[in-house]
Amino acid sequence: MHILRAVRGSFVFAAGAALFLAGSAADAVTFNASFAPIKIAAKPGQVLTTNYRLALDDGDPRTHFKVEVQDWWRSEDGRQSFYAPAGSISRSCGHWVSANPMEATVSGGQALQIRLTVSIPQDVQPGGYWCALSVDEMPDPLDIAPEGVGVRFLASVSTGVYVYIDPVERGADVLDIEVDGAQATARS
Amino acid sequence: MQRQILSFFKAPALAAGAIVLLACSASAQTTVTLPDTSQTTVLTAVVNEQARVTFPSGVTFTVSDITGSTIASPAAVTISNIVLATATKQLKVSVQADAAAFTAPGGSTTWSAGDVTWSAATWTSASGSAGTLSNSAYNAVATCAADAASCSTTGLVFTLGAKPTVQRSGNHQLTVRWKVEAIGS
Repeated sequence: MHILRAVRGSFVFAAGAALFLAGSAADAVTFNASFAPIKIAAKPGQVLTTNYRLALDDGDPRTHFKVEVQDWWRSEDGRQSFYAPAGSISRSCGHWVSANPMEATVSGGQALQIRLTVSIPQDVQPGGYWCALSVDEMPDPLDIAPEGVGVRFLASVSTGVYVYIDPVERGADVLDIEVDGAQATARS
Repeated sequence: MQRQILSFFKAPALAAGAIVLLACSASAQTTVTLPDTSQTTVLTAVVNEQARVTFPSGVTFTVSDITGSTIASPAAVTISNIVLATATKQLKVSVQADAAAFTAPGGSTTWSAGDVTWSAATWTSASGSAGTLSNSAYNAVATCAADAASCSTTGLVFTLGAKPTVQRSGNHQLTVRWKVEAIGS
């Protein structure tokens, strides 16, 4: 195994005192997260590893997490983000990245180490590829659902994974430019 | 073999020399200035892009008239301790439903995710966006201002639309996921 480069990402995820009960601010969900993207320069056939760390604050309740590698993209106006199974986009690195563990329960004050292994195919074409590592809070089946009509919130953190296969040629095709007053919008 | 014997005798000879040197230094102490006194140790702190985020755990709709809209109590969202790589990167807060519709008693008629909307609340150091809940996309709720250290609101209002076809009282529940993303470069 060639461990050529390890990019370490880390974030701390701290759930609030209670996760699902509706209403009061005391029940709010709180977490600390790192949003640093994971950037990897690689060559065809290489296998690279990186770690992602997740830790809860002391006193946080046990929280179950699901780890997933997905594709992602944004709408043209940037107002919407889409997450889909790996392989949904042509420049996906989702099938190259595996995470271990895929699920875990973390107690307050404990940390979860997620190991990411990036296996670059031999026949990959040069260029940039991307996907996302998502860590989703999962509902606790033992929690009692609140009474009435309501929405309960869970949290999710996603970090972009960018894989660059040399030689990378950076560029963009500008399809349209709209000028509105002092603001110009380029569509590429 | 001869070389080993010689080495054996070198040790006491060196020890004797050291004793002589120590004796000399004790009798004539002097301050010797080192040739380079500018040796330094660099302390490096690697700071990740990070933020502390507080989301509401849920909202409740007290539906007393299914033919009209129901407004939930205002919810609070706070993002603080924002540290990003550049002054132009921003944090975007968005939501997506885990399912296409609420779960209802006995699988009866209930609201769809798209029946939930939210207002463009007044935010501090952020621009709020009105929107409609979806189970296929994370729709923006707010974008923190560039280079802001924190952004927040206490007035995010979710509204449940009218649904005259609802026939069962009880628990109608939907799970919604908050997402925070760094955008820009």
